[in-house]
Amino acid sequence: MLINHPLLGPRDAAEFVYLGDACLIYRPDPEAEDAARAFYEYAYLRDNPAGDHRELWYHEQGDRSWLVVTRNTLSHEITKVELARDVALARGRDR
Amino acid sequence: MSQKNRIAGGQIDRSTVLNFTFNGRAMQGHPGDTLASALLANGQRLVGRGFKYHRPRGIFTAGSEEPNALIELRGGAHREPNTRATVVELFDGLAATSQNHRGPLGFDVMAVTDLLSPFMGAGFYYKTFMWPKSFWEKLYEPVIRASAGLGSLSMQEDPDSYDKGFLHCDLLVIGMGPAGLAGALAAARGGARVILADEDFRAGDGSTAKRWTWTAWRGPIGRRRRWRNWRA
Amino acid sequence: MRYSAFRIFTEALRGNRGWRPAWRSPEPKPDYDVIIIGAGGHGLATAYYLARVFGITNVAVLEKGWLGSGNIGRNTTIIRSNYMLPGNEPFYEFSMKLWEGLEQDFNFNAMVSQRSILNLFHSDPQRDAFVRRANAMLLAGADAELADEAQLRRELPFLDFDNARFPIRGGLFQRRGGTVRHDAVAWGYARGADARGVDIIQNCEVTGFQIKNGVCKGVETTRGPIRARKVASCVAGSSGRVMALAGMRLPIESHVLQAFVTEGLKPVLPGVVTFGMGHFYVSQSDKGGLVFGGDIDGYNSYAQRGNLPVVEDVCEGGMAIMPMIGRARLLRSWGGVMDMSMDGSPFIDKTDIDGLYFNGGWCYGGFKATPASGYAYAHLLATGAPHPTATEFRLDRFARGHMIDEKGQGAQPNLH
Repeated sequence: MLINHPLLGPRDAAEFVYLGDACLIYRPDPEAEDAARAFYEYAYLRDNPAGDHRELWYHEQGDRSWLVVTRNTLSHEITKVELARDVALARGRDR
Repeated sequence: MSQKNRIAGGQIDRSTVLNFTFNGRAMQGHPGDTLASALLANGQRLVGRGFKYHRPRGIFTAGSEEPNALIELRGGAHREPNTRATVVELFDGLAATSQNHRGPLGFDVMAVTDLLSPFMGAGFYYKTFMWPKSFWEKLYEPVIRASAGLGSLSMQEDPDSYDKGFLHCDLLVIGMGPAGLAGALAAARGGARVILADEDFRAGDGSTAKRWTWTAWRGPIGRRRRWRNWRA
Repeated sequence: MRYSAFRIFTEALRGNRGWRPAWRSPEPKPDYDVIIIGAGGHGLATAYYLARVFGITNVAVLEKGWLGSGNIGRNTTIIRSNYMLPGNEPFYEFSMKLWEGLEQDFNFNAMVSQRSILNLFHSDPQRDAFVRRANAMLLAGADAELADEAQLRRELPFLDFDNARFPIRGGLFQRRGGTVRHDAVAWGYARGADARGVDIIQNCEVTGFQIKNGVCKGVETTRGPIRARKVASCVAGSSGRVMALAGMRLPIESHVLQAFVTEGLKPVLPGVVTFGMGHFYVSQSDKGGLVFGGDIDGYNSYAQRGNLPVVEDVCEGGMAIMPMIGRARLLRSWGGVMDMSMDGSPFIDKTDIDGLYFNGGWCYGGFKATPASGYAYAHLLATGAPHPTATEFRLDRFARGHMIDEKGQGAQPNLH
């Protein structure tokens, strides 16, 4: 499986460590009313789709960047690769 | 030497003789032979026994799809069980033995199971061997396990070292038959970095065994003369 | 039709024309007492025990493909009860005891072979961890035996004891562990359930649930709607897809696990050997092939195939511990869909939707649990209460802080 790193070009998936669903970028607000419930769902519940999945990969053996990869879990075809930093900034996080 | 099963032509080098053994019996072949073609040249048609009923088995195909001619190649720690004789390139000093028989290959005592075939239909073992309860592990299963499997491992550590490398190309062509050769040549001429790979030890695949394909072929790239250069 | 050597003999004398199908292919009825989704090992076992133990026979098992086509049809066949945590070990030992009586129970030779399972250790801390686990096994009524290097050298001389990186210092044996013929388990349970009136409906995919006001009343399928008082999902790696039809998210990720078998060889390996540090385990089937595997690939997948780096890793693990297998040939490799849970342990539970039940999260260890999972799920469906050995297998245990985390890895499915 090849991951087309936005800065480094196509790299073998074996250079990376997989974390999981990219929803992990969106950490709930600990001060909110429903924080306990929100953190439970954030930490433990997953969509786990049979289809396109946005997920976090860590380039451990490369530039040690985090990527958000859009990959189809039925065919393993990767259609989009973004720097996780860009995804977080676009969502209004400060980093 | 005269080997009456040989036909004229082909890609073997008749000027060199290779010595090999099958079940200890000395035989001869030529460079370009597979073990299977050399066995047939030496008149050896029986090469193994079937898995379940130990029926006599001969050489069935000319390639990697071979289901019957499974032999043990080499001895000692280098022994390789379940090797298809049809893909082994004959070399001087090759030693091969047949598998899965008790007693000589021509008289396998396990063939008695063939007489019991009406009682041993597909999946029969699911319908029995349940009583007495302890007999499965004490008797039935050990007997089944001893008669199962085809070749045997040497039980010694594999003495060879292996390496792996990585290659990169624009186009990987798998198969060195006429289509693969033509495609690789066309791509290479177009400037692509091409890797052309085949499981066999010789290019041309079955086409080298079939003379008619060379005269009948009309390709977009070369004429017949150019293809003869490939074969040499 | 009862199976026995006598039956084989008499049928052979009649030209083998008297054999009858092992199960029917009925049309689905419009309603049942219980619908089980998934005719895999666990689903068929559930139907069997519902009928045999609890007397509930108005049951349908719905299967989108053909029965036994999922993970029950392609696993590495190991049975063992060598877990550590109190939420797990009594359940797996209950399963082991069910395995021991299974063939006589359902009159089908499942080839239950208690040839032993051995976990190798390579360091003092690992030995300490195994001692602790062995004690937990003994406390739960299972058997455990610690072996030192000298004993292993006698029993399994072909192992690479002096491996430079992972020298073998000893191992933990469970002598009652071993292997079972996986297909026979599906077929034995299917035949037993069918004979007691359970309808096994193949080529019938669930496409939706009939849920109204928080109550589940049945399912929509490719063969029409079917009503039921209780609907029990039992679909392993497909749990996410199926429960999403009920609007549920689960603490599960679906991952691919690859497994391998060599060509048939004369007997070389008497039992199951596991090399935990190298992520490798191996046994030899009754047909002669070495059956082995290692770790999951690590990324979410429903593809039922994995990638080459894992193939190489697994073979490397095998060569490190058993260098004699270098001359054997790989015959077949495959991948399945594992329902990896957030703590590596399973669920057998009601859901928040009345009448809808869930069994899943078995990760890569569902096969050994087949009898107990079926029995416990049947118990829950029949009585409304969890089986005493399965009380911790709740969907809400993460919210309550009651993880059953054998590996101690935390809430990341691909680490379990």
